[in-house]
Amino acid sequence: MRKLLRVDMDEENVRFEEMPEDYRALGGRGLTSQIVADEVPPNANPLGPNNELIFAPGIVTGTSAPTSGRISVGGKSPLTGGIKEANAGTSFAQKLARLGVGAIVVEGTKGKKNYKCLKLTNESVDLLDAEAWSGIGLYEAYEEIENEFGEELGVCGVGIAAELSGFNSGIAFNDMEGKPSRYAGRGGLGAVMATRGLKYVLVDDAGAEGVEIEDEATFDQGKKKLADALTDHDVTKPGGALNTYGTSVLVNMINESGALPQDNFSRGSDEQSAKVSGEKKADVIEERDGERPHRCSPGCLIGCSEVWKNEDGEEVGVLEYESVWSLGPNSGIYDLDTIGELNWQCNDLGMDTIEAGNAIAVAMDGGVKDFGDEEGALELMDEIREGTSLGRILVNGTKFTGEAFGVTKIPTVKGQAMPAYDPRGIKGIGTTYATTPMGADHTAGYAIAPEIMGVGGEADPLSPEKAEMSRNLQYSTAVIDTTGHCLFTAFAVLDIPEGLEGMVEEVNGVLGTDLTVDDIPDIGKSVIETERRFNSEAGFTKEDDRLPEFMREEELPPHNDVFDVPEEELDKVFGGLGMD
Amino acid sequence: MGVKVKLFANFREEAGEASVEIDADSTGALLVELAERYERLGESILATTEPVVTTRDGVTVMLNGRNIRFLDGMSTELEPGDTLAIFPPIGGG
Repeated sequence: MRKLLRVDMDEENVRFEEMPEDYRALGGRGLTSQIVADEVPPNANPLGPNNELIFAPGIVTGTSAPTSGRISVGGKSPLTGGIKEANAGTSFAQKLARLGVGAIVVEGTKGKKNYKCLKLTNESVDLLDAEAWSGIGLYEAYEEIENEFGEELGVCGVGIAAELSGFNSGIAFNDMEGKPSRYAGRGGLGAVMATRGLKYVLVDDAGAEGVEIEDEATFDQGKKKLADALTDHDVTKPGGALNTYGTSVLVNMINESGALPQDNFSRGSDEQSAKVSGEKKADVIEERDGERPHRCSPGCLIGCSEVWKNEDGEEVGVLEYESVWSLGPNSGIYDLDTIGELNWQCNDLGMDTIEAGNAIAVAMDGGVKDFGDEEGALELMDEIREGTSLGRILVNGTKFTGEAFGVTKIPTVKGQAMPAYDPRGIKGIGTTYATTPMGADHTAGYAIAPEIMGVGGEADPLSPEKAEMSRNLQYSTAVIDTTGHCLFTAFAVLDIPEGLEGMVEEVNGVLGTDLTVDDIPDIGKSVIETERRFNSEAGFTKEDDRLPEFMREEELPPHNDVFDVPEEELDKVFGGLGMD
Repeated sequence: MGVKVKLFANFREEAGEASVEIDADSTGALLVELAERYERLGESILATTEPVVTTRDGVTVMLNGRNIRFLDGMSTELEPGDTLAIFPPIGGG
């Protein structure tokens, strides 16, 4: 049975606890959200002493289940003021799980003390001094940590953005090259970690026993069914679009559909978008001898990732669709090298690229720079690095920046910036943005699959009746986020029933439970109810499940639609769930 | 001026082109013509041509940015100067 590691940063001590019975069937997001709900007062100051930071690998993470190298991080978000779960794909997740750790709960405050590094091995858990790796970029810090401790460790770190207590500071994890390019990015949890006084977590699983599996036969049967589904489905299979072009293959598709936001959500397509498409990026990666396909973590059958190399041949890491869009077309920038440099800066400073790009775009809309000013955008990163007043505004994200510069078109929900799909052109994803407890979040209920891709059903993106679709997607996503599988497995399991059965059998194999696919909606509902209850007690009402006013009133060229999903439809997604 | 046909992802490799121009009155007729011109591409796009034209699962066809499934499907009429975009099964995030 997995253990819970409690880290008291006030007393600077660590202790293992038995995993409470109520938590034993949980992992990933289900576990982080439950612990936050049980231990964090909903009215806590997110940067204050009563918040906590929780790490939890998924239920099957660390086993040979395919595409399951995910770790969830949870807490109360300084960006949204509500509950937050962010997750990343990284071998760190698998190493932590193999050490038998189901959750790390970090509590306390930094006070006036030096930053610390938590180091876990099979033999010991220690808090080390981390001042030598503070105040520097994460690429340099990761290299120094590797020189000190070797290259086999899982490394988690927060950067300068977190040291500034930025509401947009994320939590970096190592990729398979040991670079800080995999992120539990959204919602400012980096600042929660830094204000506890923790800068790094290192995991060495040498000698670890591995994840306990209660029923090997059921687990093996489930894993095979899921693997077959992943290698069979056109989206996830070897040589499929994700494997060949990465997530940026969506740039052209969303641009064609007229919903790829340009210049701070002022129009939905531009001919120049093709210059930063997945097809173009794959060509450049090949020319520069970067790496495609590539995996974020061992055991992934999809391999959607890549290693982008800049003009000097230096490795940046992956340029995801969201990052390319937010640092690119939404900021009027159509050059992959500039986007690559901006992405490197986000990774190095420790920021979520979606929020950072949106903050740049609203700053441009507010006159700080012009849209398309590539050098200007890079200068804004320097401002953050130097902790100037402008930098301190930008590092707090899109809403904070927009309000500082008198921008009225601020594309956020619950204070979190929207991802790369304009809700006026794709109303189901807009319904998810509005209603997920996480703030504007595309992964929470990825309506793009049925609305644009024809995966998991087919729905007209312009139809406003999306409550049921968004709810179902949000429930199943909460479950996938709890298992530790990458959300991209959903492309396959939504269309191939045996794949979904396989995922459930893997969980039954690990836990010794007797679940079926019919249990999925209830499990997902339970996770979301917990999250909505926390948000309600933190002061959220149904008025927070809304999109910004400008999206209801300003038409989005080229199709000239507005977001006309009625409030009653948004309220139908969850009804009164979690709100008494 | 015919209809501009834009191809994406591996469909470009299969045709050897990112964009071609074809004269046709309906989407179904255009896809049949496209398949005749580019055999390998045709096999990837079309499931059937008789008695009706159907595309393979996961293939998306947009006319001027709108999915034809929500217009008139294969009967969707085309005008000169229209843009038809054809995508293979695609995922992303």
